[in-house]
Amino acid sequence: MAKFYEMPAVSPTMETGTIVAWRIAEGAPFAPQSVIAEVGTDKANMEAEIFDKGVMLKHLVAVGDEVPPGFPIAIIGDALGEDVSALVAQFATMSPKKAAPAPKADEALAPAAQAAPAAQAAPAAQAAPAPKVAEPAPSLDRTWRGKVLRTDVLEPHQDLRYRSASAAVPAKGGRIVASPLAKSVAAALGVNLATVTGTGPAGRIVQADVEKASGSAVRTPKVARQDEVLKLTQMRKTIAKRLLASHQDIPTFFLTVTYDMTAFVGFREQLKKHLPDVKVSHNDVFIACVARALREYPKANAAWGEGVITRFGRVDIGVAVAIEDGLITPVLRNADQLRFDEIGAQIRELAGRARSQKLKPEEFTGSTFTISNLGMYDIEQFTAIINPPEAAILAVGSIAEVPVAKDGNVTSGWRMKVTMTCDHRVIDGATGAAFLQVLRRYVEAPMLLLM
Amino acid sequence: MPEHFDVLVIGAGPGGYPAAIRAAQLGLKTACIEREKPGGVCLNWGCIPSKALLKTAELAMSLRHADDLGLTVGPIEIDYPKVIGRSRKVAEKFEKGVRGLFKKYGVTLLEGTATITAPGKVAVQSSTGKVEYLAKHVIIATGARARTFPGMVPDGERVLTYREAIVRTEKPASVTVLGAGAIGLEFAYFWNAMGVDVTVLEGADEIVPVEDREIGAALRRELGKQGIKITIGKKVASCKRDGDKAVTTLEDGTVFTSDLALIAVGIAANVEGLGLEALGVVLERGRIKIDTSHRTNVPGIYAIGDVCGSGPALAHVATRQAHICVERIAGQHVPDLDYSAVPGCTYCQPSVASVGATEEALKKAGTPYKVGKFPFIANGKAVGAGHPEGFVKVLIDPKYGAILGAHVIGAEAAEMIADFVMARSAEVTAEHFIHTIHAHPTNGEAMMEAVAQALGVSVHL
Repeated sequence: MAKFYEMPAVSPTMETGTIVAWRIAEGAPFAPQSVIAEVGTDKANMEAEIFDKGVMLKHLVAVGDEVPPGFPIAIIGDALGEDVSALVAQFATMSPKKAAPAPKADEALAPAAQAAPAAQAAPAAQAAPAPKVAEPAPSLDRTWRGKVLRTDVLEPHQDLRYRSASAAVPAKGGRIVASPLAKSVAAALGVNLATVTGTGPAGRIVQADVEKASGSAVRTPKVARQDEVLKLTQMRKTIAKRLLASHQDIPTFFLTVTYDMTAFVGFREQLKKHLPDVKVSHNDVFIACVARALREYPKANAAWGEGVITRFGRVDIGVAVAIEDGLITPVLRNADQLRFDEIGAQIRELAGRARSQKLKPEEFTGSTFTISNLGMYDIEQFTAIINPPEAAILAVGSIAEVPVAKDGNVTSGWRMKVTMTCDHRVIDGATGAAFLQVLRRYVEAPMLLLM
Repeated sequence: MPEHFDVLVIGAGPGGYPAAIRAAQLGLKTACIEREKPGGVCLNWGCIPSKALLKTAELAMSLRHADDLGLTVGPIEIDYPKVIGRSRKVAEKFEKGVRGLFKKYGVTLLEGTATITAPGKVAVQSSTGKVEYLAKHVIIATGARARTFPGMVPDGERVLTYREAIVRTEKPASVTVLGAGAIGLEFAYFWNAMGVDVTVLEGADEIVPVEDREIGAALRRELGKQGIKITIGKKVASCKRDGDKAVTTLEDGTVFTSDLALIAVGIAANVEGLGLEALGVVLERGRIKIDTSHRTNVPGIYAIGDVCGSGPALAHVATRQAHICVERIAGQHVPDLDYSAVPGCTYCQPSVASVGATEEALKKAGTPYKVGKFPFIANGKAVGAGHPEGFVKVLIDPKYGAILGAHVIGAEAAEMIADFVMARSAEVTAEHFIHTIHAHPTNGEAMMEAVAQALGVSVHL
C-alpha cells in the first residue's frame, strides 16, 4: 500500500533537512536498508535509510528543498502502479511551515523531535518543550533574518538553575532509566529506584540521586586511610593459638585487690636515694614481692597437667614484655633468690633482647607464674589471659594517688589494683584470695623482703 | 534606537562561538563580538595550530627511527618556515569555518572591542566607530592569556609566550621552556623534534603537575630519553632578554642562556576593559565568579570559559559551559557540568590524558580506591606500532565500582581517554567497563585490561 516516507531525523540536533540528492529514482524498487536520499543537515550530509523493501512511487520534494523531520518527502509502496492520488492530495494541504505531522513512536525518542522549535519549522507554541515565559521584550522583533524567533527566552532575573529533568521529561512507560553506578549504589543501600527522581540527562537516575533518596549522605565514607591486610607473623600465629587455647580451655575467675602502696613507694624512694647508681623500678620491687609470696604460698605457683597438678619447687616468673607487633614473656629464673638490682638488670637485658627478637627459646618458656604490668600506661585495672600450663597470672595496674577514707575522713593515699586470673581447676577462690593476702604483706610492707 | 538582541556574546573562542551558534539554533537573536579572530586562541594560536606543528614533530621523530621499521630514509631536512606556514594555514581554515557557521546560523559577528556600559547595554568599538547594542543576556567569553610571574619579562622577540612562539618562522638553536604543563611540554617536544636544544624548567616537583604523579614521572623519563633536559622542583627567579639571548635564572642561582625562552606557567583571565568593575561584577582569584548556570552576581550578565571561575581552563570545558549557559537561558533543562568527568590531554609523544581523580588526590581525601595498571608493552597493537611505552592506570571505588580516575600515557592517550570520560559521565561501573568489548587489536584494549587488573580478573598480565 502506498504511504508517505518522511524526512528522518538523521542527526539528533537537526531542525530541518535539505534533500541533497535522490538515490532511488521514481519507479525504482529498493531493497531493505537502502539509502533513499542524501540529506543535508546542520552537521553534515547524511544518508536517509529505509528499513523495508519497496518501490519509489513519487518524490514529493525537490532537490534543495528544506523540510523538518517528520515531513513527507516521498510516497513509497509495495508495487509499481499503486494509487498515489489520495496521498498527493493530502500532501498538497501540508506545508513545512505548519506543524509537521506527529513523529512516529520510534522517532519520538530522537531529541530532534522534542527540540525542533525554530528555523522555518513550527511556531514555538506548538513544538517547544520548555516552560513558557511571559512576553518577549516589546522592542525585540520576533523574526530575524527570515527566522521566526522563539518567544520563550528567559528574563535575566529568572532562576536558571537546574532543578530536575523529571519536570521536563515525563517518565516513559514505567521503565526506570538509571546509570549502572546508580543501580549498584541502590542495591547496596536498599533504595527502590522507582521512588527516585532522576537528575541526569533526560531524567536518568545517577548516583547522587540515589544517595539523596536514601536520606543520608552516604557518599563513599571518608576514612583516615585504607584498610591494611597483614600477613600473620610467626609470633602473631603463636599468640593467637596459645591465647585462644587458654581462653577456651581454662575455666577462669578473677580476683581484684587494692593494695596500699604508701610504704612501697616510700621504700623505692629510699632505694633510689641511697643507691642512685642502681636502677630499681616499681615493677622490679613488685616482682620481688610476688616471688617471695609464691615461695611462701606454693599453691599459686602451680600448673594443670595431664591428670595431675604440679606445684613448682622453683619460682620462675614470666614477665610480659611488649615488643613490636606482639608480646613475649621472658623468664626470670629463681626470681625469689634475686636482689632488686639483679631483677631489674635481668629484666632489662631480657626485654632488650626480646625487642630485637634475639631470645633463645629456653629464655621465654618454662615459667611457673606470669606477671603482666600495664601500670606504666596508666591502666588502673585489667584482666590477663593465663599463660598455660600455669595456674594464674597477675594483671598489675598503675600506682595512683587516690582519695582514701580513713577513720571517717577522706585523705589521699597511694593505691594499686591487682587482678589475678586463676585456673579454677588448680586454684579455688579461697586459695587465690589467700595468695593475694600473702602478697599484700610484702607489697604493703616491703621491708619484709629483707628478712 | 540601538539594535536589540536576545543574547550578545563577547568573544568568539571555543566558549563564545558555540554559545552564539547554540543561541541562534534555539531561536534567539544573537550577536557575537570579537576583537581579533573568530575561533579565539584555540583555533588561531593554541590547540589547533599546535597540533599541526606536533604532527610534523611526530613524523620527524618517527623518520629518525625509520630504520627500525625497515625503511631507509636519508637525513631529514627541516624547512622550519614551511612547518610554521602549514600550521598557520590550518588555523586560517578554521577561522573561516567559524565565520561560515555564524553566517549559516544567522549569528551577527560584530568585529570590535566590547564594553558593557550597563546591564543589557554593550558598546562595541571598531575602526569605524563606536556602536551601542542592547541585549537581554550578555555572555562574557573573553578567554585568557599567558600569565607571567614577577621577574619574567616577555618581550615578544626573545622571551615569548605561546602567542609569539606559534607564529615565529625563525628556528631557534636553543630554547628554555618555563613551565612543564601541556603548553610548555608540547612546545618542548616540537622544538626538540625540530633539532632545537630544549631545556624545561618546572617549579613543582613533577612535570604535568595536574596529572597523577606516576604519569608525570613516566613522561619525564620518556622525554628525557628524547634529549629534552628537564629540571623539576626549582623556581625561576627571573627570565629576561639580554642582547639576542634569553637569560633565565633560577632562585638557586643557576643560569640558562638560550636563543629563546617560552613562558608557559599558566593563564590570566581577560577581565580588563569590559567595564566589570563599574558594573560590580564579582571576581574570584582573577576570574569572574559564577553559579552553576554561569550567571554572575549581576542579572543578565554571564561568563563562560577561561574567564570564568569554574573548571579547568580548557577549550572543551568552555564549549560545554556555553551549551549549559545558553540552553538554560532558552528555558531548557540541562544538568550541571560534572567537573569530575572532564578530560585533560597533553599532546607530546608519548601523550598523556586523564579524567577524574589522581591517586594523590584520593589519598589526600581519604577516599578508598583500588589501582589497576596495564603497560602498553603487553598490548599487541602498541608494540606492533612501535610504541610500547606508557601505560594505563585506573582508580576504582572498591565498594560500588565507580571509576574514580583514569590516566593514560602512551601513543594514543588523547584519543583513548574518551572511553573513560564516557564511563565516568554515564556512571559506568568497572564491572560494566570490562564487559564492554574493546576491538582487538587496539590500544584501547589496555584500558579494559587496566580495569580488569583493578578487579583482579586480567588475563593478559
